Amino acid sequence: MSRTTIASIATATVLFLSTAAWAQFEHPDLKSRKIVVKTAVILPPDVKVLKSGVKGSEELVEEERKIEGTLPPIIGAVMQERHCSADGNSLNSAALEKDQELKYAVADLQKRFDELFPQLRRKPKDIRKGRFTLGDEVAKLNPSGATDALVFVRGFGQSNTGGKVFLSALAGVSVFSGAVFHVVVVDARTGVVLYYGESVQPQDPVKNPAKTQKAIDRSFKNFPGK
Amino acid sequence: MRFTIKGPLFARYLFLVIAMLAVSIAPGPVAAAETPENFKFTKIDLELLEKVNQADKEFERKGLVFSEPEANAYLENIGAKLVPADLPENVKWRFRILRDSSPNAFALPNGSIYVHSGLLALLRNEAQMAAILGHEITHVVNRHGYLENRSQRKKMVAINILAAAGGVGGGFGGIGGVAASGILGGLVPSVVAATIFGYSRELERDADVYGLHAMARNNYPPIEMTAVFEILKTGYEVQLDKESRGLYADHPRLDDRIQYVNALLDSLPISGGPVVRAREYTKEMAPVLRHDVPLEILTGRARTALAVARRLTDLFPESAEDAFLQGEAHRALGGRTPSPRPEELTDSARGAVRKQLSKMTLQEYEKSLRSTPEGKAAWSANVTAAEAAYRRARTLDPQYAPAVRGLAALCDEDGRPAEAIAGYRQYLQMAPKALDAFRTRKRAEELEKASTAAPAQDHN
Repeated sequence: MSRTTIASIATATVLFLSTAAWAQFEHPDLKSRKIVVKTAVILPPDVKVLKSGVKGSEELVEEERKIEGTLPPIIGAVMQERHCSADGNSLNSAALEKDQELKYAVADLQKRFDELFPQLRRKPKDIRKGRFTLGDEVAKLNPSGATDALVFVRGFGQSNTGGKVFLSALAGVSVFSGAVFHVVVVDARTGVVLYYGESVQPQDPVKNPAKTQKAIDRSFKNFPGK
Repeated sequence: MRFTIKGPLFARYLFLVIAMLAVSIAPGPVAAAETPENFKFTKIDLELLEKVNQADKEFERKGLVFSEPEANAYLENIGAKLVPADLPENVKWRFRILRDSSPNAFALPNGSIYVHSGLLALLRNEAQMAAILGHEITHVVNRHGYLENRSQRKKMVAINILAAAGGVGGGFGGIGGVAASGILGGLVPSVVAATIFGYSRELERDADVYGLHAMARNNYPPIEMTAVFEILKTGYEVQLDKESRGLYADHPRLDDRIQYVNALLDSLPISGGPVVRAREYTKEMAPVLRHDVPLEILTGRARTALAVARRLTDLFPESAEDAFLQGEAHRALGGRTPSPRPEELTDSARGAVRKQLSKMTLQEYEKSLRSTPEGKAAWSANVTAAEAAYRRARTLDPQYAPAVRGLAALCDEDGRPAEAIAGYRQYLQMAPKALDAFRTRKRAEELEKASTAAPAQDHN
C-alpha cells in the first residue's frame, strides 16, 4: 500500500471519528418548535468508570459518584443557556430517600430507559422519525403535568494505569482513556424521545473533571433555544 | 513434518521465556489451597471489601433493594439458621431482596447476600430458598470472592504480558515472529482466560456441595436443590440464549449440577422430620411475589408474571390486588399464549426472535407479535381472561381503583374508546391523587378529543 493511500485512510478515519465524537439527533417536533422544552427534571445520572490496569479492570465507585454529582448542575447551567429551567434536585438521592414509592418509580423508569438505550444507540438517527418512546409511564414522575421533559444521563469512562498503557503499546493496541456521555431528553407527558446528544471527553474523566463541562455542552449543541 | 520456530534468535528465546512465564503465573490450585481457616487478609482483599461495602450502599441508593419488613425478616431468619456459628472476619451477615426479575442470587464477600425477586417468585418452598442461601453463604465463608479476585488479577497480568510479548514477537518478522505473535498474543491469553472461568466453575461446585450440607444440618431435604436447578432449567419463558458451556462458562451446566447433587444425596441423611414448608413460604413471600409481577412485565417476561400472579390468586382467592395482577399479566401477554407454543421452542424460532430483539425496541416487538394471525388469536384470548380478572378484582373490592384503571387500559388497547374513557374517568374520581392521575386524565382527554373529532369527520 502506498504512503498516499495510508494517509488517505488515516485522514478519513480521523474525520469519521471526529464526527462521531459529538453527535446530536432531534425529534422533528422539537426542531420545528412544535414542542418547546421550558422545564425539565434531571434523573439521577448513571456513570460507570473503569480503571484498567495490568491486573485487570475495576470499577471506580467513589469517582463515579463524584462525577454523577457534578453532572446535574452542569446540565442545569447548559440548559439554562437554552432558556430551559432544569431541576436536578427533585429526584436526587436525598429526595428519593423520603419517598419509597417515588424511589421505586424512578428505579423502574431508569430500567425502562436502559432497555431502550441499546436500540437508541444503534440507530440514533431514527429519533428524527419519532421512533423511540418510553411510553406514557414517564408521566408518573410528572404528577402535576408541569414538567416538559425528563433528562436521562449515562456516562462510560475509562482510566488507564501507566503499566496498562505501556503493555498495550507493546502489544500494538491503543487504549482509550476518557469518557463518553449520552444525554437523552424525553417528553415528560408522552415518553417520546425528543433529543439525543453524545459527546466524547478525550481526557481521563477522573484526572480531568473540568473537561466534563465542555463535553456536556457539546452534547447539547443542537438543542434548541440558544 | 517437524514444526520448528525459525526467525531471529531473540524471538526464539522470547517465546521460550514467555511460555515459562505463562506457566508460572497462571495459577488456580495455588489460590484454592488457601482454606477459610488460614485465610489472611491482604491489601488487595481489603480494597475489595471496601468496594463491596460501597456496592451495598449503591443498591440501596438506586432503589434496587426491596424493603418489606415481614418478607425481609423471614429471609433473615432462614439465613441465620444456615450460617456457621463462628462469624468469619470482616463479615456481617445481611440477607436482602433485590428488585430484579431475572432468576438469580449472589453473595458479596462482606456477607451481603442478595436474592432477586424474580428467583424468589419462582421458588416453591422454604427448603428451596435454603438451597439458594446455603450456596451463597458458602461463597462468603470459603472466601470465594477474595480468592477469585486474587486469581483473576494474577491471570490478567499474564494475559497482558503475553499479549504485549505477542506484539513484540510479531515485530521481529519471519515465521518465528509470526508464531510468537500468534501464540503469545492470541492463543495463550485465551487459555489463561479460560482458566479464570474454570476456577469459577470449581468454586460454584464447592458452594453447591457445602450448601447441601448446610441444608441437611437444618433438616431441609437436599433433593430440593435439584428441584431449584430444574426450575431454573425450565422457567416460563422461551430461553433465547443457550446455557453457556465449555471453557468459557463460569457456572457448571445445570444438568451437571443436577447429576452431582443427586449423586451426593445418599450421603446426606437428615436427622429429623423433613422441613419443606411450601405454604408458609408462599404466604411469607407473597409481598415479594406481588412486587415482582410488575417487574416481570416491565422486562418483557409476561409469561412469568402470569404464572406468579396465578400462584397468588390460588393462595389468596379473595384478594382484589392479586386478581388485578392476574389481569395485568394477561394484558401484558399481548400476542403471546400463556405457555410457549411448541413452534416457539425450535432453534430457528429462537434465533429469529433473538434477531428481532436485537433490532427492535420491546414495544415494536410486542406490536409485531400482535400483528400475526397467531398473535391476534392470543390477544383475543388474553383480553377475555384479563377482563374477567379485572372484573373479579372489582367484585372482591369495589373500591380497589387500580382494577378500574387496568380495565380501562385494556379497553383502550383493544380499541374500545367509550369504555376506556368511562373507566379512566371513574378511576380519576376514585384516586384523584394517584401517581398516574395526570397521565390517566391526559389519555382520557385524548380519547374524548378523538371521539368528538371522528363523528365530525364521518359527517363530512
